[in-house]
Amino acid sequence: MRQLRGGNRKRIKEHNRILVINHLRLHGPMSRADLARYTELGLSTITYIIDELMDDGLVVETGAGESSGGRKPTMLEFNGSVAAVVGIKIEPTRILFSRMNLLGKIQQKAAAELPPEADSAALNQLLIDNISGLLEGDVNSAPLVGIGIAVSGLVDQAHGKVLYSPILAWDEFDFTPVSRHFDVPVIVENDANTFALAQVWTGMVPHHSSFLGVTVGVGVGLGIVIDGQVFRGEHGGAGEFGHLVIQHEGAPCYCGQRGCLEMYASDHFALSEVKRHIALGVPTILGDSDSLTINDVYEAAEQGDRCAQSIIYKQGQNLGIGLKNLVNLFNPAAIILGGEGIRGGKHLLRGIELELATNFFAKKQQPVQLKVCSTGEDVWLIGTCALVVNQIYRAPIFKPGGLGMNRRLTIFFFLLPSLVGLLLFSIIPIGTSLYLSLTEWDVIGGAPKFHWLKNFRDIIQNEEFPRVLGNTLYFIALYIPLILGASLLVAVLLNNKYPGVGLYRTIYYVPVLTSWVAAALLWKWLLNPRYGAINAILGMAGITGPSWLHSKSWAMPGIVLASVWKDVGYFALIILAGLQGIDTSYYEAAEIDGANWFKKLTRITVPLVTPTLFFVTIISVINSFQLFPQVMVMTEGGPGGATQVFVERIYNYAFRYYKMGYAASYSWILFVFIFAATLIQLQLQKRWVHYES
Amino acid sequence: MSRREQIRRLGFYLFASIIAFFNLMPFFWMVSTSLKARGALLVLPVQWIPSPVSFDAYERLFSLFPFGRAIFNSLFVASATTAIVVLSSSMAAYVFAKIPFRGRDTLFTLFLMTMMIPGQVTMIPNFLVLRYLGLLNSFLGILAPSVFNAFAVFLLRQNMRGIPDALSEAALIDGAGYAAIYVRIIVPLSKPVLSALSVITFMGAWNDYLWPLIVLTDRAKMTLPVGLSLLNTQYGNQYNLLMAGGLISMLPILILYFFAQKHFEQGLSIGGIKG
Repeated sequence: MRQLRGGNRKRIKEHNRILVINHLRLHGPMSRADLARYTELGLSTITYIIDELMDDGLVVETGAGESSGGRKPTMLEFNGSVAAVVGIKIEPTRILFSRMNLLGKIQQKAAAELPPEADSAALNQLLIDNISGLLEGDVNSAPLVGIGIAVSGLVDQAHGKVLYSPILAWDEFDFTPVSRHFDVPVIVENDANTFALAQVWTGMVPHHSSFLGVTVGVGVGLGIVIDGQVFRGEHGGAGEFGHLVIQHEGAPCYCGQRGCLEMYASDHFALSEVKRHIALGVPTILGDSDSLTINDVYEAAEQGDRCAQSIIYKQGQNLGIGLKNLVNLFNPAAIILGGEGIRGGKHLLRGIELELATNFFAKKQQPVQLKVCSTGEDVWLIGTCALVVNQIYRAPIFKPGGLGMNRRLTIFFFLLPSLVGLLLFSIIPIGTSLYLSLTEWDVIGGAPKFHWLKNFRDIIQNEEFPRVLGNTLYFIALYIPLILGASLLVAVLLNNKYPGVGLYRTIYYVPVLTSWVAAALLWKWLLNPRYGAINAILGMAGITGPSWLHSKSWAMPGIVLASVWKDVGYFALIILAGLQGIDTSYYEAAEIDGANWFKKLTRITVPLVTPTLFFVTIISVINSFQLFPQVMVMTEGGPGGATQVFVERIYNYAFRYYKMGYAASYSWILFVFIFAATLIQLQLQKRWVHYES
Repeated sequence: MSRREQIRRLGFYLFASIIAFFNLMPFFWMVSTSLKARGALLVLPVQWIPSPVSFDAYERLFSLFPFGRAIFNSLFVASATTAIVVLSSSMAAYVFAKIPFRGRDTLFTLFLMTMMIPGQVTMIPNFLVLRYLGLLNSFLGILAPSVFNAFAVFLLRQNMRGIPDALSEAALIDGAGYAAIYVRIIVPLSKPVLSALSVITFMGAWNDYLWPLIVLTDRAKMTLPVGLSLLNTQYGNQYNLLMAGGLISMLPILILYFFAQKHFEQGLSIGGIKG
């Protein structure tokens, strides 16, 4: 997509300048007052811009105009000869060159033979030589501002290339050497489009109208103009009119289709029909079908040969069918016919008119105007001039290619905070941590001592490690089933529509909001063996509660209890979101089949919520490995190391014992475990997670 | 209403209330304890309702520890962290969502990859970076790392991608620069996700324990969780004191929650990935 550029005072000025130029160029000459009226700019703005343009030589005064009372206004005109444009039309056997002023007035013309089988380097050289010749012929030596090239086939305008031209038998032809040689833009366009563009300039159709330019000859071409703009389609190929299929299972076309319009409405049709008629013995003045050319056919028709006339008439009818389809599609103001083929004259036109007389709009609207372009071969050249000038004076709303400095600065500025953070607090630390993990370092005394994997060996061989890992796995084994069961239960409850659900939801969520330090202090006190609330309640039920955090075997269950209490609201809400995503039609179907609530829960709800449960499991396992504040506040790893876990160890080694290298290694071991646990779960999910397809 | 439906309804309220009881009982215990005199803590049978009610704990809390200061510190750190995260991440997210440039996707992938490394790995070097920069025991030190938050960038970028390009193009034509588009279009249209992000960031910073514990050593700079844990080590058996402190630390978040319940719940569910 093309990048739009921003607007500011300077660009608005630029925009107005172009607006004025375009008005003068297309509608001039006119007075300053008329310009102000039509462009809706202030008179002072107009005066200012005109002064500038006159200084630049782009506008000249042409004397006094008609007065509508009062002083005669001074008329202004766009000065086309301030610069030159070269227009080129490439035909199967020759190339037409022209030098024009900015108003499309042809000042010099030339033609060169198109050598068959020439390679692209030779062709580009041929173009360069001829263009140079034209420029030398200019007595005023107006500067060249652009080169326009009209060519049949599919073009890539952005890259100045012909992608494919069956008539010229070209595949990927690049004009950039020409552009580089003259250091001006080369604009390539499909010839039918330049034909259409030229119509506005030659006054055949008003500006900003919608019309179709149709060319007949060796091929059949179409330029679609909508609201004064050539419609080029998404990739620049719009208007392949010749390959509209008008005959089911018709004559095979070189494009691979059958029954293309081009097979029925181009020179090819007229010639092959004449040959067929001669072979059938139809009386005609045309003889010797082998050396017959299309010109012979036209001449014969002019001389009154009925056979030739009827064939051209038939060709016109075929073309008319195609045009009728276009009329129904575009509802255009006019159709302008051009190209070599219009030499078929009144016979061709009669055929077209017959078909065009009936179309969808015929009853209610004025008939579509069918006009014949009489400008001859110049029309293509004028079109290429229009191509270049329109490009130069297009509204300046698109950015010139490439990233502007402004954009680069913006990107840099917007990313700067994150990039600094990424470097300082993520990339450098990760690297440092990796390095530290291979060293022994106590922060205070000297540089880190490098000793390869010793830390990792020491950690794993230490009798503490199996305990730490065991404690963590024990926590996971207790916590995960409890938290999953409890959150699922709470979520199912909250998924009802009874009054008061909102209040329950709020209540269940309060522990989630509590800081872990406050919650851990609370639970330490709740689990106090003698004076705590939990054992007091158990005592009411006649149970003597355990000594919880003071007991090696009950400390971890105590921490699990606190963790479940704090986290259940959080996970319940996530599961609830999953539950609410289940399609209610499943339940309706189950109800019809007579399922009770338990069946619905186990057969529909649980299977369909498994993706959410899986997500919850992944997060809670990761969180479990990172267990810290509850341990730190409630037990500090005790009693007797029964609640020592990874992060608690890392914290103590790093910030109590200042064994930085050792702690860093510990953190990488933690990373490996988290990573492995996540990978294992991703593997296992296939066995229990049910994804709706 | 059918009999079955009545039973279901009864079942709902029964279960919901039992769970609510287990949820609230600890808080009741917390309030009750905080209102006990020190002597009433170690009394059997356990006193559910304190008699007499004593505000002793609250008074002593503020005299033993600069608790008012800790509340202010926490508020400041949490607000500043939120502001930094929201600003820095939304700026980066805007570029990743809307301004194409070569290497953008590679850079974004790098951002995402850092999310895989747990905080404990970078914690030690981050401490060393702050130490090297002389930022230990300062608020700036606590705040600095939040300038990079890959999760927030990811979350916002996903959201901003949904904003139609036509809006920024229209603004460009009207003369807006990238900064103006960010301020006038991207940020206003990202309000829902920005509020959700603000809420979880604020809450995360308010409740954060490990990082401030590492960085802060000065009592006057401690945040509430660090202050509370310090109280715990110094007055570990004076639970009326600890419970009063815990309650006070909860209040601001609870107040915020009642005003912005929707944003909290949204924020925490999307924040799920953060872990």
